[in-house]
Amino acid sequence: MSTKNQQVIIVGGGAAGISAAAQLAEFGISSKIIDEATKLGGVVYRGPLRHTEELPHLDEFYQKSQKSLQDKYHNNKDKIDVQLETSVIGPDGANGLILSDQKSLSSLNYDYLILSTGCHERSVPFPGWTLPGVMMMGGVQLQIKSGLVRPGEKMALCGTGPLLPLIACQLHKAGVEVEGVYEASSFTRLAKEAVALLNKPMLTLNGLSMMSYLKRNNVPFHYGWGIVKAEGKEAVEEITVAPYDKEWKADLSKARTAKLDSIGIGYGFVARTQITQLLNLEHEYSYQSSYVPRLSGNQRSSKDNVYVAGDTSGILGSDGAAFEGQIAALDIALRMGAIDAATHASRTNKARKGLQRVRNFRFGFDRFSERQLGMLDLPDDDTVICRCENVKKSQIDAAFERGVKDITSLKMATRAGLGDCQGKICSAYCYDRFKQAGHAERMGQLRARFPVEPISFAMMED
Amino acid sequence: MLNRKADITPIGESQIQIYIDDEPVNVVEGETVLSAIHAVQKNQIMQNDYKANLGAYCGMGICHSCLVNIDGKYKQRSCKTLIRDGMRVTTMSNRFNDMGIKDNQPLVTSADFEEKVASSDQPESEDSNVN
Ligand SMILES: Cc1cc2nc3c(=O)[nH]c(=O)nc-3n(C[C@H](O)[C@H](O)[C@H](O)COP(=O)(O)OP(=O)(O)OC[C@H]3O[C@@H](n4cnc5c(N)ncnc54)[C@H](O)[C@@H]3O)c2cc1C
Ligand code: FES
Repeated sequence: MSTKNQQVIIVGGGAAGISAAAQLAEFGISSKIIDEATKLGGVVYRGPLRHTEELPHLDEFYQKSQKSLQDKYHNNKDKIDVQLETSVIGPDGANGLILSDQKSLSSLNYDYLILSTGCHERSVPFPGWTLPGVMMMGGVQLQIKSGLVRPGEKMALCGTGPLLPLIACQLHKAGVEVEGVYEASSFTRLAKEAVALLNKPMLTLNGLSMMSYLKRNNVPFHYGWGIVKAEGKEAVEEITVAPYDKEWKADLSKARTAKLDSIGIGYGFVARTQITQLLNLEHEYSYQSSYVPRLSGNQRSSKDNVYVAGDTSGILGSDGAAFEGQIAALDIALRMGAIDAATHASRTNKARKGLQRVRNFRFGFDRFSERQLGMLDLPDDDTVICRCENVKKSQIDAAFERGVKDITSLKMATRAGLGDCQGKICSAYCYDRFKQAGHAERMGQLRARFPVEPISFAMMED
Repeated sequence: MLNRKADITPIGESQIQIYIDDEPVNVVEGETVLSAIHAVQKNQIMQNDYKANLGAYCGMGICHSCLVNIDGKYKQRSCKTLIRDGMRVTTMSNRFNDMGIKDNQPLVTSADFEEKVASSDQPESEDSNVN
């Protein structure tokens, strides 16, 4: 069979998806990227959605990386077909997808499929976390980077990892008064990772310059501190923060409060596996990323013609995502006969080496930022865990007391995870509760449900 | 006219407007309903079926905590909807809580499919009032 007309479909036009498409294009292979957003680039490099003359809050380093990703697409435009504002909402038969563009449904067949749908942020419930003004940190960043608006005028950031200083700088440059930045891990834990961080000296230097920017501008950065609760009548007005110990248990005797109108919370990410699940790929539990598709070499999933790249296969950041997209594309190019085995081997090796450097760097940060289960003590009995179905912590506790040991039974018992968001928000907490209770092996995965995105009746009738 | 106080860079000459809770706001091509809401410094965006006030949380279509009524349609995610000239956006509105207002075009979510599957051995009901 001729491979000339074989369809390569890529779901998700972030660093992974664009890199895959550009790599395929280099070998003369056309592909099609589907993305639900209005612009290519993914969550990090999408850029502003409206016209602006300047971007005073984004540094040069960022603007360069964004341009180089956008160039990857522009330089290969004739081989990359892009369909934006279109969500993949589920599979259609053995080798097809159902797409929704808000107006109508359609289907699309593939010979090879690359799923690079990225990640979303991990929710950590605490008293008051559902108040308006409490946002996830990356969500705050999307507001300032893509929306060009400040979601609050006086804000704090509580979380862990390299995004904390980055977003604090961006907020400050955007004109937000940053009350403080609270990094859950202690500085001694970071110092232990010095060697790992030197795998990416540029990124480390960049991190250091952000820290000194914050210092120069009197934005306090507290290591070993974290959120305790948020309070306010209609929306957040005050937060309580406290020192965290090694297990990230808050020391309430040293707690203090701060008045503000918005806060960004960022304790990690979860792989976006709704589509990989609906395609029935095999998954495995990952403490860092929740559940991830099980992959063999070259990003191949348990289905031979389906590849997974980028954060969907475990959180590695955009540089890692780009290498993974490239590795998947090289494998497809080999199978389509566009390159020989020697070219495949040498190019794949090079990408793998790059990926390894990212991993060495990243793992240093991951060890530093590894989530500790002490945070599970934050919610009180009345804290809502599942915001869609209003399931409170006491209901989750009651189910555990009755002996529930898996997530599907927990959903049946409490309705947690049954709402509009399909459990994307509450499942991270529930998995951690099972892990804490010693049931990680048997808790199972909260299944994604068709359609991944709500659709209207009118669309179904057509 | 609601004042845009939270813009990081000026929106320039705006030719188009939307209405947020019946008040006009200048907007520009490309922006989301959520960024217009944030630009006028509102953060209480929806009331869920349990009467809890919620605001935008994930900013990327995941959490369904930013649902507004747009031109009569309930449960539209403001963070994923681009503005259109003349659009009417109502915050804090909920079909269950807005007594007497009939939803003109309900959305079909995965929960509906799930309930269908669970009740598939029972006779089909006449009532197609899903949420
Ligand atoms: C809100 C947020 C902010 C972040 N900020 C940073 C940052 O500043 N710096 C950093 O290094 N890392 C950041 N990260 C981590 C970041 O996700 C990775 O570093 C990097 O973007 C991964 O690239 P990717 O290609 O795997 O995924 P992404 O860049 O996330 O791209 C995935 C794309 O898939 C699309 N998509 C998903 N599901 C579907 C579907 N069903 N149908 C159609 N399209 C779909 C999405 O619209 C998106 O464009 C952030 C993550 C999040 C969630
Ligand atoms: S803010 Fe989460 S869906 Fe809009």
